[in-house]
Amino acid sequence: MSRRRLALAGAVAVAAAAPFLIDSFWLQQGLFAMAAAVGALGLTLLLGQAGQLSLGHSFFLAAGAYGYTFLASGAGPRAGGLGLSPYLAAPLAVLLAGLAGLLFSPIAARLRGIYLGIATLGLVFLGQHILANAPRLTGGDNGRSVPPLPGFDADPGGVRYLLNVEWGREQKLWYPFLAGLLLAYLVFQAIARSRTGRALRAVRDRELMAGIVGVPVTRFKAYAFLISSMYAGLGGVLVALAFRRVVPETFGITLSIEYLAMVVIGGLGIAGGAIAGAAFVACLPSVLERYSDLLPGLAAGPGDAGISAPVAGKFLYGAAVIAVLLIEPAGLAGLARRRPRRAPAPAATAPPATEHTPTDKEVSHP
Amino acid sequence: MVIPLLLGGLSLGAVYALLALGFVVVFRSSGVVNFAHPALLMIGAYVIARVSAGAGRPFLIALLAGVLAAAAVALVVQRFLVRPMSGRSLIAISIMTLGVDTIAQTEIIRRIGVDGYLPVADPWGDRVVRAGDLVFPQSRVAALVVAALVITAFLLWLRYSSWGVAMRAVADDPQTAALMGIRRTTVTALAWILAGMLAAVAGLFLITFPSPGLQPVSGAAALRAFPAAIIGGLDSIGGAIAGGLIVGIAESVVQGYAADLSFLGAGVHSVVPYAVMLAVLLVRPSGLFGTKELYRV
Amino acid sequence: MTRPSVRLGTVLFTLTLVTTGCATTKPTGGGAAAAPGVTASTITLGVLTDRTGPFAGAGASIELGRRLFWEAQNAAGGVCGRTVQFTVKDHGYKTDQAVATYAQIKDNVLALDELLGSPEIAALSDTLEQDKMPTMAVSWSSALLANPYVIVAGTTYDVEMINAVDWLMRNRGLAKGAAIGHIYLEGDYGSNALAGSTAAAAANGLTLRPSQIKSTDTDLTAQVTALHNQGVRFVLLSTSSAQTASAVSVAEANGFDMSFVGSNPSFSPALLAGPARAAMQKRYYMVASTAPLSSTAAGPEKLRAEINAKAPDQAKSAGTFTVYGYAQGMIMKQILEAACAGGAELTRDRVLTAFHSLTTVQTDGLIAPLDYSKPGQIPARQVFVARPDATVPGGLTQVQGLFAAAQATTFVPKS
Repeated sequence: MSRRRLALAGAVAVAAAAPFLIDSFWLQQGLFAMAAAVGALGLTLLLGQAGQLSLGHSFFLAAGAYGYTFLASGAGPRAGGLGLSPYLAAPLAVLLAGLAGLLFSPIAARLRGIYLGIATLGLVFLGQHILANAPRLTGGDNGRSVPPLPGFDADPGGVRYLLNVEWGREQKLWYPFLAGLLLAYLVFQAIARSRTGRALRAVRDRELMAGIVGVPVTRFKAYAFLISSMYAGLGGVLVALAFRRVVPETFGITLSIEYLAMVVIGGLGIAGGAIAGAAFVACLPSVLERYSDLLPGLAAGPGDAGISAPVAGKFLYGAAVIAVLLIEPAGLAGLARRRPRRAPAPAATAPPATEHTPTDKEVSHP
Repeated sequence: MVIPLLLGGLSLGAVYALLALGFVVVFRSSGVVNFAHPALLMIGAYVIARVSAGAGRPFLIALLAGVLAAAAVALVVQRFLVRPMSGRSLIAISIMTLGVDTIAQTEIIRRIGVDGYLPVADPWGDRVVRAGDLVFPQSRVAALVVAALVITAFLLWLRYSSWGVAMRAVADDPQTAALMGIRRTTVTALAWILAGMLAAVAGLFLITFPSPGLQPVSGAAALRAFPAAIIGGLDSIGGAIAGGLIVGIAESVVQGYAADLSFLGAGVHSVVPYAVMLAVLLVRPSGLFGTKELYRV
Repeated sequence: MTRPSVRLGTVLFTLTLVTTGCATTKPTGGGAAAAPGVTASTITLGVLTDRTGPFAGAGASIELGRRLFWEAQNAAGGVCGRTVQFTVKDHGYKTDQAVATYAQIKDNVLALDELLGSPEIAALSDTLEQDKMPTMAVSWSSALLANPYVIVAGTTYDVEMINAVDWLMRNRGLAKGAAIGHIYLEGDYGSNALAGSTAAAAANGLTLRPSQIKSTDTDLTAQVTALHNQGVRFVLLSTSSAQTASAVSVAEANGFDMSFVGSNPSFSPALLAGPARAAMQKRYYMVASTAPLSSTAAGPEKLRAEINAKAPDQAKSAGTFTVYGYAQGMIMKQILEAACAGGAELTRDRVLTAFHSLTTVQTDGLIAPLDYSKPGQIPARQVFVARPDATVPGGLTQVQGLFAAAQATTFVPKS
């Protein structure tokens, strides 16, 4: 196997061993990170590869999360449901999110750049409005509980053990999540390396030229929206499973901006970057909050005038975002590329065709 | 019933216009989406509130202090964070301003403290203006008048002053402007300073009566500047003003008739700016007054 | 797909099957492991609160009450022969932070002494039930009662509104056939209160004019003006304290003949330090099952003495939430004592059973008497009525002692 494949297999092996090695807090963080990474992969495909700015990612995440919840829940006194098997509901929810993306794509095709971005933002607000005002579907403001995946939930009979490790919900869910992330990653690489990927990048870089050359621009834009919203749908299903509850409040503009931050901080258009960025944005605030009482000189309690631990955690997170981008605007992936290459792998491994270079239009003149 | 709603909408719209203007000015000159705009608003409003009500200084001094504080922070962000990233991807710079916004808003919220709000000692207080049957808060009248004055002053400056002309030149044709000796970095710094100043004035009128003061949620109002700026067309100064007014009036009218509109769901007034925006974009994809982009092949 | 990918996929799939199939139950060696959060000398309780978000003020106020109660209690020997200590985490009023911080502490605490925020409680509700975690929820929504592990310390919002309407009719001249307004926040707080006001309006022949606002709304001119134009003279408020100030100030400035009645979260003593003071003192009343700090009952008197003795610098911001925090301690103490009564071992199950065994929980006049013996039922139906007064501690003076309207005692929330 090539170095790349070896590295991937190694990463997967380590990840698969994680539930035996780390405690529930970190596993929970890992679940959140993996769910975010799947969604981030979709956004980096849309923005990094196809050049379409979307601030509406949380709308499609909501479609996946609420879609799964509605399809898999039984009809109850407060909210309805179709009672399907969760193993059927999950892919259906992904398709539902994809359909939403497809329906939006004609509007998206008419808009460009920041206009598209803010229009998708409007989608988020409308989506939240619907989520809060359709209680029979969505449970209203309080949300709904999410049906777990059969076989991957806590045991009602008591705690079970595997190889002397307490084998609870987080440990079990780890594997479907890992499988989902791996699938998402491999599909991304497949698309990016294919003719479709080249067409998407052509649309991104020189839209008019691509049209002249014969690329059906509108169709590829629609395709990009379809795929990225399916990714968001899967990400939404994973988020729902990780949190066990969906509430409208989660799927707002803050979440959309967070996903944008993930793909930019990670490195636009690069799969590994999306995953790294997702881990960064999803986990760093919690990690900082957890260890913030180690920082010296902080206020001890609410009566004190100083900076409390959680506030310090937020400062550090904001500073980290600034620092990463100030040092390397191409994000974490850019930082990784900076490391001097060792004896190069044979030229048979083509340089990743997934790099995003700023175009003329996009370069700033501050 | 309609007149007070329209007046209120006009007043609110004028404040949104100020916010949209500040946002558009930065976007036109540097192409950066300034996610720290809400922070500039909060910083300006915070200083005004603290100096006027907290320290008891005369209001004009407080206003000046707030405007200068917001302008200074904007300049620092531009000079030390944005400028070093010049030539790099615009979206990276925009997300970087997100980090700035996180830090600034966290700090302001911390300083607001557990009381939940900071009052401001403005000269209008809760006094009202009466005209026949009509009752209207003085602070809202002041908002409309001051915002109109500031916008007019800004437009005049843009049109007739040498720096204003320079700014327009750089936005319209950067290469020629550079050839004419206009320093692009100075113009951009000026744009950010203006954004700070406009945000501070807008912030003042968001915390006067009938609001009790500066609250952690005050920054959320700056978000409404986004659809306002889009409706008008992101590269159009006039469009920003029009967009602000449209959003303000729409929001005010929908709020006033909320009882009749309850079939649309509760709390629909916060969605209206975006619904209007989507409607406008369907018909005019670059906003009402934005220029359609021309593409070089 | 390429072959290495297929191989990887197969490995992963097999791993999944193997691990789920092979999970075994560890034989519990003689003597069950001690319950989480309990040692021979300490009991650890969890606190998930808001320190950096919009309800930081309420969180801090409750903290003061809790701290004062347990310092005194621990000095007097603690509970069940153990000292009670707390693990405090901040979720900043964000549900995902709440889920994450809960996961951090759940294995180390016996129960949650405080979980603040309706959205957070909703998000964790099923998890709490699965983990069998007794939780004292800082929310008075009757929707929470469906979860047997959630402890609501007081009368619920819907019943509060029924009582408020009743009081207005008997004392302030609200007459049959009149219109009554209700400005309420999106979310559990507002919708639960609305259920009560709807029932009260229907039972009393009133026309209800509801008006929903969002947490980002800071200027309530439109809502108040619209209500005034509809002839409304009495408005119920299920809002934040800043929004209350806005509504009341607008009515005052316009000279409207309008009074306002709100629940506990709609008031904060800080409002009396600002420009809205006169308007608040003239036009606002609070209904709540938590007594005002200035009340002359034994509990509030003791609390005031403790504040002055041990935390005088925080006296200015102490209010009804401080009373609540102190009473929360009293309630938790009674639950724990019932759980370990007769030398029984402290476990979460025993805490739950003890909780539901309590038919009358008294708090020396801090909160209305509570009955937890019927899971799913509203634990208290009475409220106080108070009005703002800048001259007394806590900013509220009681104008009506505990009472419950007839409809309030029989009201059953729709599930």
